[in-house]
Amino acid sequence: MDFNVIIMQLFTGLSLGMLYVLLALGLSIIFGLLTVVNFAHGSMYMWGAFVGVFTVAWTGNFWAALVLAPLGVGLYGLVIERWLIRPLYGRDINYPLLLTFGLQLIMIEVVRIFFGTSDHPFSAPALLSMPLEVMGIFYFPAYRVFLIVFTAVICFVLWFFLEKTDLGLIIRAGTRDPLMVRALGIDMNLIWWLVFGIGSALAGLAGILAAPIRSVYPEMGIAMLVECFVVTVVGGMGSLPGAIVAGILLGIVSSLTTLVYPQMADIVIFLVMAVVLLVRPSGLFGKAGLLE
Amino acid sequence: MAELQSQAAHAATTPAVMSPWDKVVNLVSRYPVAFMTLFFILFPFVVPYQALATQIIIWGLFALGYNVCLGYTGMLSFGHAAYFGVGSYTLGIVLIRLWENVWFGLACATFMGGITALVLGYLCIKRRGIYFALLTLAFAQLLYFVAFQWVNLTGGDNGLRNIPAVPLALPGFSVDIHDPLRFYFFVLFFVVLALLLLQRILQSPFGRVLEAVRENDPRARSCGYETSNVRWLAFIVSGAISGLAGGLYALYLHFVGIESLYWVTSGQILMITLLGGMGSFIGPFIGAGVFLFLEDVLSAITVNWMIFLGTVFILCVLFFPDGIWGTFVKLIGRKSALKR
Amino acid sequence: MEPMLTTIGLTKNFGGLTAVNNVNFSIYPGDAQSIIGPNGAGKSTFFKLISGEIKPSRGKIMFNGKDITKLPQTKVSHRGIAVAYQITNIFPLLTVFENVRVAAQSRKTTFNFWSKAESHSEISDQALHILEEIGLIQFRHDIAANLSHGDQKRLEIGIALATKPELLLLDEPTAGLSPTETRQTIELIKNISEHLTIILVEHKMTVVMEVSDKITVLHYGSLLAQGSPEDIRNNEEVRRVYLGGVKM
Repeated sequence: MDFNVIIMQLFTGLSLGMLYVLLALGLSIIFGLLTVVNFAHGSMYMWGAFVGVFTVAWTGNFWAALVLAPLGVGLYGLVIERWLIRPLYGRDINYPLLLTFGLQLIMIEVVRIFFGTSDHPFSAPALLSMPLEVMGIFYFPAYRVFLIVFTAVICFVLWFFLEKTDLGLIIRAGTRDPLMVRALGIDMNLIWWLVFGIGSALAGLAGILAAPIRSVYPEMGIAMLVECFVVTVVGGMGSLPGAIVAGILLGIVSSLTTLVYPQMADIVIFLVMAVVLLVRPSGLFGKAGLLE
Repeated sequence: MAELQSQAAHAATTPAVMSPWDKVVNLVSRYPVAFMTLFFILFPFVVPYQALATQIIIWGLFALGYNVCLGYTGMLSFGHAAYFGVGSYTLGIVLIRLWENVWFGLACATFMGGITALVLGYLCIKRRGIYFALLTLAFAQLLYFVAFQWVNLTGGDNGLRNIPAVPLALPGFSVDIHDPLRFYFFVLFFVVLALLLLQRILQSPFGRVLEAVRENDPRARSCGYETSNVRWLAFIVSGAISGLAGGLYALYLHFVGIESLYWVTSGQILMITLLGGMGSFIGPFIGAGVFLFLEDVLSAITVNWMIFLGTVFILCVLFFPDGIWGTFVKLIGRKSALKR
Repeated sequence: MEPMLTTIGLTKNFGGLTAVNNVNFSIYPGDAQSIIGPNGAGKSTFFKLISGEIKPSRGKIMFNGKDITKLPQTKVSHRGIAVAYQITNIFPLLTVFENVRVAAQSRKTTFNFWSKAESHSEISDQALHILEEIGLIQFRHDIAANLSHGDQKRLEIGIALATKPELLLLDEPTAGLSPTETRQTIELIKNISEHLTIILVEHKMTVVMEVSDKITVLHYGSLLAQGSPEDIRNNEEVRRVYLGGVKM
């Protein structure tokens, strides 16, 4: 097989992996701090894409959409946490999961009502629509390069926020011992609220970033959600480095499989998960026994 | 002294004078299977159309199997579409390719449902709680994609069509179960069989261990029970019943759609069980009845009926976590407690 | 006479912390032995090691002459070691009777799907007998979660007894109990110790002095002293580190 094709496919895998990373990071910080498995995460991703469709139709400006999608979905996440999820704290850990499951049904249906059930074409901005030439041999689509770089920057910002700021310190302490943090006079409700908002915004951002390279339709978040669950199980639930490594790994694995044996492309990541589970039940970076 | 106290304690649980209403409730809770059988015999004559009754008891059976996991052992599975779907496909493939015998087809469906649960369960049981839910979901999706790709066997996206309408072979004669009412009673036979079987299992020593595992897994382990094996076995029983329900559903539709393996089916059975109330025999059937009835009515009004279903489900999670039957039982309990 | 349980150089590290440090401990059949020590002395960890809940970093545990160091918790339970936990660890929504019955059943059968659970009269009788012994027979139809704290703690002991142990580990059985309840539990432990070997972890010195034949003192995970209540009472070092030099 052509070496060139493999490089291209690796690159495509990396950009898919970056989408996984963005989504899995959101899932992971929400789970790590709130112990909520957000089943509506995939639908928030879908809403991000549709906010993009809507904004571009309105303004014709991709960059406005890139700002509005995470902002809108983030705000929506704040509303959801405050009014629907907060009443469930202190009850069985499964209830938020069930609630967000019901929520995603509604979210999908709402989009069907306003946008119909078909695909919505969405193109990358003109600035990023030409291929980038590297060493005269490789031609990478500029939009995917942008996606990879942009996501890497977001990851760095998130890392900086969590590791180097006071608020980040509180969040990390809250992951380990929320009672202690509360005893220090910090309003954990506020922190949880904020984190749910950030996680939702990340999902919205992934949605708008995915729009030009994947089809935009109401059920687009479903398969993605399941794939992100796989990513978090492989990486270790609640682990941020795990989400990044597993996201990129699975994106590349899935992409390369498409090249070799396309029928297996959807299946291979589940096989990877099965193997990881057999060898390392708590995931690559997971701590054993967390919330079991 | 102890004897006296014991009598007093006993008297508190059974009031001396019972109203007729209490008597009915008491009888129903003591003989749920007999009561339910009686009810289901009359059921097809009170619903708008018999096909709805058949659907309700098939999904009720599925929910009953699901409840072995969620209600009796406390395992939240998000992948029961796998066992239902495998049951459906098994029945279809057996009838089309192997042997046109309904009994054999259903036996295979039950068996394959159980075997699938055995294999996937082995992997999922390794993790508990939330992880268990995610793993069951992921493996069910895996099966979905496999069925999607394996067009020769499953028909892929088009589904498995033309499942023959085979008459029911009984020793000496055969019955045409094409007639909706006859088919209903054919399904009911399996439902009652499953109810009796489950009742037996739940009252057995093993059933008691299931409850202990649900209540306090670490303590059950420290008492010397290998709780992961117990969970695994419960998962297999649950998968087998789901497989049977899947087989019956394929027989009912003469068709297996790829969506039977899709996660939506897993979500649906979870909603049905939660709506009806976990941990009882009657709850799943009430859940199935309400769910399918709502679907029937709402889908006639609007194509976006899922929006209402989602709302009902969210309200249920927020305000009635015990489900319809569970809330009803609690209300009854409070009422009789007030009277005392 | 051979000791029933022996630990040889038993050590458990949690990261940098050594919770149990090179402990050599033994108990003879029929004895009731207490383990005392200030908070964080490693008593609970020691119990978890013996019951197989956690695995030691180093050292060996011998029970009735056999090495049980690497056995999982369930196997240790079947060898005849039972624990009554400090934090009440019952089956909350089952009846009091069923709590004990299901524990008793663990000695007989798990994968029996067909007979009725109550038809095993041997198991039910044993459960009733234990309920009688722990004084909860009159509450047998009640839901365990509705019992008072003191009754739940005795139910906890009942669950442990139902697994027919040879060695019973009691982790602070009187913690949080009223004086009357403590009295009842002391009598219960005395009764049990007539037919069982007991290791007791306890903070209340009155309880320790009354029920133990022998006392072991742990200090920062290490064994400090071992001897009869009288010996321990007069041990200079124990008084210094544990009692702060106060005469008991």
